[in-house]
Amino acid sequence: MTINKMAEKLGLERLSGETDRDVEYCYISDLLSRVLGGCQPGDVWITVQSSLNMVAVAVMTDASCVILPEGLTAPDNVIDKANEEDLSIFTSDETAFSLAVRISELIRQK
Amino acid sequence: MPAEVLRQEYNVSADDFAAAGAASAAVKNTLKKLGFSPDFIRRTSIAMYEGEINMVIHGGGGVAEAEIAEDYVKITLTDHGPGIADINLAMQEGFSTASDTVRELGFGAGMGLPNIKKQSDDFSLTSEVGKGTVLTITIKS
Repeated sequence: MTINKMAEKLGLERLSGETDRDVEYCYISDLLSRVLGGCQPGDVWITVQSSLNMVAVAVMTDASCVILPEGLTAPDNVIDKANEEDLSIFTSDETAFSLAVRISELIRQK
Repeated sequence: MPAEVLRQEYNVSADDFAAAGAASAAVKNTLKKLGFSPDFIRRTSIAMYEGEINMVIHGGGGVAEAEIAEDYVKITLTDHGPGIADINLAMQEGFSTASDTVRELGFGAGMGLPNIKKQSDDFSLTSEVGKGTVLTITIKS
């Protein structure tokens, strides 16, 4: 499954980035050091962190994309930086748990 | 990959969380252009970024140097911060002296140094209280 397909199925709103790529798995945490140790290449990373450091961590770990749950958005400077890095950030009104459950179903269906 | 050793040097500013990661991002881009494997680039980026963040949070800024060779990258991070009194304690997962402000940004979980060690093939941390800390790591491809 790709991030574009996932975004369409989950009704995600894209905030930044444009390149499509494969989704491998999903990782949820807001502690950046934990994410740096645990998020794997291709993972969808769900987090409430919306700072510039979030962009750096997503890029360093090679996450496939970031989803901000519960309708959270990111400031303009974060969106600009993410576009510069071609990092896809999405927002959703759903909770992290609900998103993870649905992503799990999509990954299993592939 | 470079036939000769390539050296890069960056200044890391204290408490500048917006710019934190710029040195690691620059090294990552260089490694990408040189054609290193994604796994090698990822290990190097994560280790260097953790170290760079430590310089911003704890080290009062400093200098980040990268030595890029055909089959390894050596990163040296030198700061002139307060130093680490007990390195064994600092290496323990979960131990952190980060402030609440830093924790609100998502850092300060006490995972940084153990993470860096995990990603590195060689790891050396030397520190003197009142003078600063030098972290040297090598990642082999």
